[in-house]
Amino acid sequence: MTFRGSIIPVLCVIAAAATIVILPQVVELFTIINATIYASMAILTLSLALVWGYCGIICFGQTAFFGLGGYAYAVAAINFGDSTPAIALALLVPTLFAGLLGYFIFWGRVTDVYLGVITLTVTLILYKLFNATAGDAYHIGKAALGGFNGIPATPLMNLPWDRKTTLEPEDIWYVAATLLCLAYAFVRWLLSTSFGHLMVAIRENEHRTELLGYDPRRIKLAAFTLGGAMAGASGILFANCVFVSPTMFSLLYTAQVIVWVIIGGLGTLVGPVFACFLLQMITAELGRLNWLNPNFVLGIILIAFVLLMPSGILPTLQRIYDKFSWPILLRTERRRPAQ
Amino acid sequence: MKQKAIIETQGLVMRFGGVEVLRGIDFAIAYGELRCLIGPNGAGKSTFFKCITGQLKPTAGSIKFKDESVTAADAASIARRGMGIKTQVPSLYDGLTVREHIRLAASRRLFRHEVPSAVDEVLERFTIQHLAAQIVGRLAHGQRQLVEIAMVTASDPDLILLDEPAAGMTHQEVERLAELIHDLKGNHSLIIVEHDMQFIRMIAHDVTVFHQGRTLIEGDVQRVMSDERLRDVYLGRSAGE
Repeated sequence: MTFRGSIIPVLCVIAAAATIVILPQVVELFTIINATIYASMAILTLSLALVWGYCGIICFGQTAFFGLGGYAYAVAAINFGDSTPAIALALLVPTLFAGLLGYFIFWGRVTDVYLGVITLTVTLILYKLFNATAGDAYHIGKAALGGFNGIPATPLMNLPWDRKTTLEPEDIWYVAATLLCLAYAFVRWLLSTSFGHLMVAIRENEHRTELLGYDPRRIKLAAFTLGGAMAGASGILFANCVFVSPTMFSLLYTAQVIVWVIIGGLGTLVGPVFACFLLQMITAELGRLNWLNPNFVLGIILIAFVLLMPSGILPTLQRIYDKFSWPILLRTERRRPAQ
Repeated sequence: MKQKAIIETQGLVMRFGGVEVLRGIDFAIAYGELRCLIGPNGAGKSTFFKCITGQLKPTAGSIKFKDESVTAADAASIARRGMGIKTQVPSLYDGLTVREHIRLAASRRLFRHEVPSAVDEVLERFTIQHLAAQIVGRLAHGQRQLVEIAMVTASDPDLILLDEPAAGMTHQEVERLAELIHDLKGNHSLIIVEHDMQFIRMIAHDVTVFHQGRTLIEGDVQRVMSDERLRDVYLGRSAGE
């Protein structure tokens, strides 16, 4: 590893740690809560960046697992009165759901746009389903599902096995931001393993991968399930900063995540996370100013990116860097972006 | 004494709707044998390859590979049993480097620590070390053909199928390919689909001619080449007229 190659990750870790620690000291509570929401959504974005950007699985229903994670957490936390087993259950439910859905999709040889349609449809079915749970009849144990209103009194996380010590918003920020960094590091590591190479191979040419003796269905199922687990973790964090409601499964949330991945750069990890933070900040600021509908602006941004920067922010920056950076020795061969 | 067959098909039929592309192919080659398949376009050569590699499920007939029936097996499991194919149009990972291609193929059969040396060995054998870091999507057609053959070889299959390996190669590349195929012949069985008769003479001893989904002639390359029926089918006249 070169000096440049080794120093950049170290600097990134130091910068991330400093941001995580310093932020609650310098900003007000509202900003911390917002930053926690952004971090939780960034984990969701990272899960789609992995599944779509690196394994080529066009999953337009990543928010199904996000919503299931949030609901499973809220229901379990209300019933158990402790977030520790609730978190475990809330990770298990979306993971199993993703595994089961993925099994039928991949063993049924569903690919390309059909896969996108099926995953999106599943998400919208869940949206309708949870919307129809208003009334006393719809409850799981002590937790009323609440229909369109969801579960407003979602219990906050507590220290492991210590139900009396509930975490403050600052603590939840530490958890969310640290989890985001760990999720990023994990995905980065995963992509460097043989499994990660196979994921990329499937994205590039599934047929050839099969002819080499690998079973693409198993690899895609593993990636899809892992993405579901990450999205579920994101839903747990989201439930701790907002509350759970059918909106988590809505078309708006589904579309937002796809937009962040496309604008950040499909086939990259940092790009989608960066786009997720940036666009959420823009949307929040536009909402505060109340000039224009934030979703309208988001649509215009997406169209502008598709027309002017179709490969997304990060690949475009990489190309500019490669073209203009003076130290020619630092230039590296760039991969063709994922399609 | 009849040699033991590595692959054997009996009455292989492949129908696409009303079109019968393979009409009862009986075919077998022995362990370590090299056989060339020739025939005009539409004779069923590539379809035959697709059937025996599990990419297509035959309408009727049976396929035995290393004494096991693989008629209904999928492509991945047939490849794991030891069959590798270089497709007619190179099937590669355009965004990956040559080294990554070879590594992917070698990783399936080897332990992690054995892979780098195996990759280097294949790169050296095919004299493509200078291309190792190149993105495959940017290579010339002949180089892509060579990379695909190298990748198939890296997975060390018992039976290698090469569909038009010399197409688009320069004269030097074709000569090099012929040498490589001679090297492979000792350790692997090979079936090669090719149109270049000069290349076939360089590499093959036995040839099978396909015509309209059937085996027309089979035997020694010199005898087949001088057979009147071969000229007839390539000129579009019905064989045996």
